[in-house]
Amino acid sequence: MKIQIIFILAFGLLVTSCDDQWLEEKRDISLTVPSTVDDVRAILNNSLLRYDNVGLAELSGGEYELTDETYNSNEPMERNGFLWKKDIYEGANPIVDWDNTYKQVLQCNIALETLTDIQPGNAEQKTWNILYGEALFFRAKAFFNVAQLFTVPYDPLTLDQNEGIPLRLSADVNEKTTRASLRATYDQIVRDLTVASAMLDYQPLDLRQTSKPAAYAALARCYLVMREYEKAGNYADSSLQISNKLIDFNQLNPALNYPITPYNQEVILSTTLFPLYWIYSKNNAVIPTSLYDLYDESDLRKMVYFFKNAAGTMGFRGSYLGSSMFFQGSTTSEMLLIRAEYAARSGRIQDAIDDVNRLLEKRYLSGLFSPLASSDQTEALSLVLTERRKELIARGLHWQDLRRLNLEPGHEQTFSHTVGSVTYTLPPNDPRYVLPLPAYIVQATGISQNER
Amino acid sequence: MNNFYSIEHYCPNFWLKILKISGMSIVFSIGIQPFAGARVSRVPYTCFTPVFGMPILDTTKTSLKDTIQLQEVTVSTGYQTIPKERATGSFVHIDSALFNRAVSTDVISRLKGIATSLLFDERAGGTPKLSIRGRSTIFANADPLIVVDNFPYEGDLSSLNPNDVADVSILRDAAAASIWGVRAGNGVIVINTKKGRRNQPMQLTFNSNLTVGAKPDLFYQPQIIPADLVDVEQFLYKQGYYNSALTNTTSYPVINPVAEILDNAGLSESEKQIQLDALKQHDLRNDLGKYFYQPSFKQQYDLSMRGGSDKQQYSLNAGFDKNQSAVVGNGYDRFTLSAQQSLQPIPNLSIDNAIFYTHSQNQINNSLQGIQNGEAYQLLADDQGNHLPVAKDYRLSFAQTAEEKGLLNWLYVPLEELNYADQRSQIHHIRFNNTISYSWFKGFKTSLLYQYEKQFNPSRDLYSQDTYFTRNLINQYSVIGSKGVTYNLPLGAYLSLGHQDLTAHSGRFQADYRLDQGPHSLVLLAGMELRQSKSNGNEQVLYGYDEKTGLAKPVNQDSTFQLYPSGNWSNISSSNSVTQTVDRFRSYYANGSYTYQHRYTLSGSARIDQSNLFGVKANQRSVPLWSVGFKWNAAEEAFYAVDWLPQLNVRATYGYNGNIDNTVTAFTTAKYYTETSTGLTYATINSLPNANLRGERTSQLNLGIDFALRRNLLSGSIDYYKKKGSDLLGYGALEPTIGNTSFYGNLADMKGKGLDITLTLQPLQGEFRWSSNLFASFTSDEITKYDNTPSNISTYFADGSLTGSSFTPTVGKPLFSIYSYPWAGLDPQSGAPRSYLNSVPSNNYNAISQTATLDSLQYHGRATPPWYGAFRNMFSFRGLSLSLNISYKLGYYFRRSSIRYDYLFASHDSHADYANRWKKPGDESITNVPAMIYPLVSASDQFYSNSSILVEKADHIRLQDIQVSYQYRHIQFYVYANNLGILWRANKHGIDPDYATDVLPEPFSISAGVTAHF
Repeated sequence: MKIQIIFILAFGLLVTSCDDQWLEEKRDISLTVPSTVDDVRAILNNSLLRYDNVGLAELSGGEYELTDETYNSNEPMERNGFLWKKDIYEGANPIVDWDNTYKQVLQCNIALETLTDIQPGNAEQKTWNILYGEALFFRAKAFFNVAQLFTVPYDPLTLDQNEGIPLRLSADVNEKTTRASLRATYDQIVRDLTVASAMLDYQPLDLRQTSKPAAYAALARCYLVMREYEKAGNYADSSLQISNKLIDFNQLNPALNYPITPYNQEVILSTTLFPLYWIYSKNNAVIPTSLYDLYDESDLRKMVYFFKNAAGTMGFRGSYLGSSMFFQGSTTSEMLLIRAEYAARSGRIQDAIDDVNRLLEKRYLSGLFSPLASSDQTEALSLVLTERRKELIARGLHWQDLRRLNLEPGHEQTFSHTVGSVTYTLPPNDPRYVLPLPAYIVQATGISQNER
Repeated sequence: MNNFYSIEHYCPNFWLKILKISGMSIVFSIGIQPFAGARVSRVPYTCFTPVFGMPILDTTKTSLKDTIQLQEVTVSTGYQTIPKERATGSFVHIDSALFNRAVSTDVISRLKGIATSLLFDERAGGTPKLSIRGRSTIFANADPLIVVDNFPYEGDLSSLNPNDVADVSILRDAAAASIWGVRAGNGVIVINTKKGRRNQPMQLTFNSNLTVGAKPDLFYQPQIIPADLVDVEQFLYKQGYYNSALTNTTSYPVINPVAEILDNAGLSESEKQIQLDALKQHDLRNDLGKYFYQPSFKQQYDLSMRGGSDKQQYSLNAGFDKNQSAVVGNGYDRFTLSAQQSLQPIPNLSIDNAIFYTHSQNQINNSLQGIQNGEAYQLLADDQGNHLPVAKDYRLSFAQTAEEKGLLNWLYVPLEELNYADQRSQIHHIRFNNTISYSWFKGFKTSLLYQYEKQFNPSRDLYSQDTYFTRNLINQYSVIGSKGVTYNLPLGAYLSLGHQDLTAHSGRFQADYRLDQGPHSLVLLAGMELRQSKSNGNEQVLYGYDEKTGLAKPVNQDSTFQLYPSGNWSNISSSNSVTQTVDRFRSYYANGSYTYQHRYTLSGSARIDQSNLFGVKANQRSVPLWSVGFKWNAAEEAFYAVDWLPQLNVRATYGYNGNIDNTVTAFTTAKYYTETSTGLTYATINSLPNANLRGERTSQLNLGIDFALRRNLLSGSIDYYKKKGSDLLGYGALEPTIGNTSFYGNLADMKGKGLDITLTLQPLQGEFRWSSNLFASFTSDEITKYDNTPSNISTYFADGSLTGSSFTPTVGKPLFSIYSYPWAGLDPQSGAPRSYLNSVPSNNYNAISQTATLDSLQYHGRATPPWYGAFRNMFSFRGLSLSLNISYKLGYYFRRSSIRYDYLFASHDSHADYANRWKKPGDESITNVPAMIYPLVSASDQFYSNSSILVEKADHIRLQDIQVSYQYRHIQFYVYANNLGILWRANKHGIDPDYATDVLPEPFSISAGVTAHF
């Protein structure tokens, strides 16, 4: 009989020991349904957001020359992009500049939607705000990057005629992709960045995450391409109010392969330009003499930014990432130059020159710097723009500057790329200043292709 | 296979028309006199049209019971043991003798070529992929469920000792397998271990064998010949292809020896030529064969003891295997121990306990990987036998100066690495199996079953400071200063320790009822089962490890360091990680069968499975699956009058099996990781919401017939089946602007059908015996729904049967299909490969790929064999027997490899077809190998590798193995030769389709052994 009792007990135990809770167990400890601020923190920590996927902008707008051999040994897409061919991709898929940027948008939207569902307690409110600001910031930055590649340059006169970019504002998979107007595109970017700047903290936890000065810096950059110089200058100033340290290039060691250390005191936000096409690798991309010669002999950037490669030509090594990867983040030096440009344009010549001198003082060999001076507005502006070109190379910014300045009488320029002994040119305001959308996107969504 | 007629009954004459299969030319119909037991002078409708050469017989006699009694074969489902004569389902049973025909270390490989419906796919190398009756899923787990002694086996299958195995049953159709519910979708292989029998005197069995295998044939894969490679690299050097690498003084990338010679200003032209010519004479594969490979050598010993009294039975077994691999330094050894006992202490109680313990150790010598894909002409040792360095990661001239700078030696010397490799992984596996059964009254029994399985899998990769791996790591983290070198990474060894463990608990409560009363026989069972399988893993890396003291040194993992020479910034990787997964199942099941007069059997089963499928609503968590079956034992009928066919029965079953993928979820999920370079915790969006997630379901209809002629001259079974898979998981395309390019959901349906034939012919049954076994399987599948139209045509070219992912199935075609671009010959002017663009030959590859549609591609056929099987003949005379097995795979295609110039330029990895390339106009009439064009033409290589010219028929027949044995009293001596080679193949390129891509064919091996019973 004992045995029978054991059986009945064991059976009872088996049946009762497993309520439905038993099957609620999470299968994989590393898997989670995002629902807490910590989850959002982890999502926003994803290195996907540390990149600015504007490789095509540097490919088209970087100031480089190539040898015939380098050109020939490159992938077709790089060759086509370098020479602004009508069809760049030749059917290539995926185009990282598009796909990865919209991956960032999705991450941000998931973060935003998760945060919306959380009722933060008092202790959590500050973190919640920062995370919300961060998600808005990175989404706006993604939209801004797409706009610089795939829309016409911002011109207030034609804002409503021109198409912008798809503004995906929710994580809903079923939402259809359509192109917003150019006005709506920039309105969204500015609005998100403005809200973000109010929510973010003064200091980031990590320079790869964002902060209030980084949001101001992004607004300054955005207003600059919109050619709203007053707002650009003011936001640059706001950013500099919080963070204004400069590196003294005299302290750097030019014997190192990469003399500039990453996450240094000039960095407001550290992001990486992506994809890094092989063309830019420092032994391939030759810095044209016309650019190299702009630097004085006592300008330390000549040594820190450049090096002579074995073929005797100059290559670039001055990335603020301290590596072969290109930096696309924001620095105090960029903010000084934006503030100076606004000052020059608004006639405050001395303010403009002071800001430029403040920067150059840290770039020249100690004792050999003689401060610049000017009393002419046009001269001062041109001086600021030249310093901008010299300071901010290999950051994907030259493309933005070309697109914007071509709209300003007196600042238009015919841009050129040289392969071997042949020079190819891109006239001002050419339709090729707008990149074609990837064909597979047009095919899948039905949105209209750019003219080129 | 278009004309299929299901069982039809016609009254009053009761005749049965079972199969008509065109293309197989089988027509099979039987007529039966309807009045049971009536003596009749004539059976009017009996006709037996030719089946495999059988003559038409017109039986005019009354049925008489044939005197031949087959020995009772039972099949096991893991829940019950069923006499085969009463089983409605479709089973394959492999007995001990057949199982032990082959010699192997593991269990699974012995099933190769001896089981109908079971297909081995070894094309990807490593563990073979098994499939039973084709494939039932697309992307979810496609492995058949392996059940050992009543429970699914969770551990590593290599831990099973084949000498422990008593028999194997393969469950093919729904009635056989659906008792396993959501894990039965791919079929089930049930393995039973040897147990002691009642009232059996103690028996000792000793088995030992030795296997010697040849070195693998390194020249099997046609690589570019060294002389050609030297020429190509010389050409590239002249084109300036290496200029940027040669002038790179930042990271000093690897320069191949040819470019180094040509770039060496210190050499005269003639000296360069002499050195280049010397390289041309040398083939790396000779050195690899000489230094890195050896004949394999395997030893197996096993001793068992079993017996039993009326109240206690036992079985003890100890086995030891020691294998020396064909790769120098690699080896495997395994020790297994098992003890089983059954007790019947009081009449109605039975207690079974068993414990299995396995310890195995695997040694892996990774040094081969570093040099395997070296330059075809690379020298590993000079004429004096001195070991030579090879450029790896850096240019040789840079690596050679390391010691002058105060760094560690930075040279990579492959033959030295051979001595330093020390990587080991072990498996400890314990299985503890208990059953207590109590019989309450006659026919009613309840059982409690519990199994505990534990597996530890520690691994230890030690890279001493002598290894290139460690020297390279230390040098990279070194800073060369004016006062010498600062090491940011401590000197000493790099030690990576890994630990995986698996714990599985399975519990079952089952009630069985059996009633035999007069002509009625009823078997019922019902039960519930709980299972949990938990895996934990962790990994840890130690730097500066000292083998003598066991001490490691701390490293600074918080700072970033500038790497030498690249100057890039990096942290010291911690690689420490912990993983954990838990799978839980709760199931309820019932199964019943009713047999009337041994003639009619009706069976049914039902099962509900619940699991911790993450993020699915509770009501969607239960997956109900069921089956029904019917069997008619025609030969038992009193009226049965077919004298020459004493055994005949027909079966029909229908039901559902399932499959689930526990990795998918219904919600947005994120997966946590730690960034190795910074230690930051981050999460990646793993999946987007999918509220309708469900388990996969496959319905299966099976119609079968079993028969035996008098004296078993010919016996066999024929099974026809039809499958329908619904809610199969697949990848849907998302437009990338959404933020993800695909989603994984229940979007596909598939159907399949097939035929399994097993025939045994025993023409000679006297002292000299001859028996022939043929089994032939036909399986076909077709995608009926797949809600995804890929934006890129390239996904049609991936051979999903090899990659298992990144391919797009197409509706109306087999799951794994081979497509290609139609071939339009080489361009007579340039030698570029061409296809058609608007029906005109063209080499505009981008336009071709952009305008290509599924219809414009050439469809060749299946990538997996629809026809496969084996033909085994055994001859015996007294104690001596010889058996040889011929296997075949027919009706499918594969894509052969050829030259790819992009690979050739970038990584010197290429194909011997280079020698046959187009060189001048006119060559297009003698070759189809494209010309080498520099600079590379975009998409040209991609196009050529996917063109129809490279698709070949994969059909082949091979002599799988031969076994010779001699029985002398209680001792059996045997010799077994395996991998004897191909007898016939359809392709003309000498390619073995089972080893078409990057895999070396299994080399020939021969074993000799002895089994003795005392």
